[in-house]
Amino acid sequence: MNPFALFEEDSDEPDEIPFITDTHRRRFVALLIDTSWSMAATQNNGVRAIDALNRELARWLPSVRAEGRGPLRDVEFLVITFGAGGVGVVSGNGTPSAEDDGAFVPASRLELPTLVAGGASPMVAAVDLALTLVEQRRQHVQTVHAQQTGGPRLILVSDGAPTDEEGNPTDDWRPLARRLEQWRSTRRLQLFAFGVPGVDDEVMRALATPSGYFPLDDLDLRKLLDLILVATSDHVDFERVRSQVYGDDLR
Amino acid sequence: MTTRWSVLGGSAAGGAHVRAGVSGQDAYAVHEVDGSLLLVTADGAGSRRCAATGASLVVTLAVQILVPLLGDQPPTSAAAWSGWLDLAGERLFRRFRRASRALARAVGEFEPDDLGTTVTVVVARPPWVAVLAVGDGLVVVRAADGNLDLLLAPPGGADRHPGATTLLPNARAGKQARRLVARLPDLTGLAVCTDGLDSLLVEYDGSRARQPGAAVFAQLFTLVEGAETDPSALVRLLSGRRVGALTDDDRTLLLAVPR
Repeated sequence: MNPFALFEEDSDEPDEIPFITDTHRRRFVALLIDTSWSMAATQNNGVRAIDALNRELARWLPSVRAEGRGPLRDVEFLVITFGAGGVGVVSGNGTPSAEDDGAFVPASRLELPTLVAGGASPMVAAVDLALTLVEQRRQHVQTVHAQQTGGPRLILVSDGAPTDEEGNPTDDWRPLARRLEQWRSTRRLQLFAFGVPGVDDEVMRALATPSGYFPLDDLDLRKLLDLILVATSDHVDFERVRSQVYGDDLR
Repeated sequence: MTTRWSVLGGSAAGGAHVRAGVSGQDAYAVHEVDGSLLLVTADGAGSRRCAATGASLVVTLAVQILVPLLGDQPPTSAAAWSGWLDLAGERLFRRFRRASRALARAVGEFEPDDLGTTVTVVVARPPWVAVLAVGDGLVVVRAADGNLDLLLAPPGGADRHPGATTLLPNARAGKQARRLVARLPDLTGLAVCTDGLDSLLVEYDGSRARQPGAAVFAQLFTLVEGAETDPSALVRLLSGRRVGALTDDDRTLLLAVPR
């Protein structure tokens, strides 16, 4: 489902009017994807979850790039994985840099490598890195490009519980939840968290607040990516995403 | 000589509202009284629960309060227009605050601030144009030589959060209202819009609005200047695919030219 498909219908519009298409605003969307061992172990119809995710990402990315020339033209993506190899930036030039041509990439140019699953689930370190880079990017864009920046948006996808880099359970998410609360109140952060079966609901609710957490019933990755696209669009709130996830079956 | 006007107005809900099956939260009104043209737009804040009601309410009150004020004895100097704007603003903002409180009390399920809205009021009575604005509306004027000016520019600054603006009925918003008076003897066009369109109509230098887009306004004014104006053209444009692909926000645009 393309959330912008409603605009595809033909309409009898007046002649071509040369609207200005440059943007003077930037919005930062950090997508954090759990690529821990469970993504390799979990299978759906005989297909490993990580393979299904890579296949669906290949389908999804062209629609993101298309929206990046339209409604998402002010969006810069940062994509971070946590799992195989620890915490890593997989967008842009793949380095944790907030400079131009670093980790952040306009939606119209978003590409991702094939993701690899394995290892622990250092979710807390991944969110920490996202917050650090988003703040650095905001300062860079404001001071170097003098452009307006909207409140940052974090989209967290996980099917497990946070661990340290060695795979040991950790309580580090508790102070992180308090830090995220500060970001919400002072820096207009919006965090959308999607829980794939197997996820620790308590952690996700604590990080995203109950209204920003969306547990999914199955490993429908196509639906998940479409929900991420909805959560990326401007002027969206938690209720809008909730109705998209659950329809009339409100939770 | 009394000036008569050709006016075209339109509004369309943004993509988020369309997809949710709800109406937009902008409102507008156009009123002509003895050669004075009154244009009002309002943009209900997406973050407020009853923003559409707030936008409709402030537009209705603006017409109700300002039309009699214009009819009495229209100002004929910059100082008189400035005083008129002070009086108009004071009455409009006070009435809106009172109405918001009364509505909140009567319904009982929301606070007056849930009606949060911007408002932009433009009065054109050649050679004068007067503007009263709370929030991030936009006013463009065109001179006889085709030159365009941003009479009311969107608030700029790199540290400004897009979408964050001052809103009525907050009392501070009324005090921070922008008031402008311009003497424009060769005015040939006037455009007022809500912030949903500013990135499509205005050229920016970094975060600062630099100038109205010459090519886009040249085309837009032709919609209202034709011998047989199509009243639905603007609505079709605003709700069409091309605008929808460039902005997800509600958008309202009023175009006026002296006849």
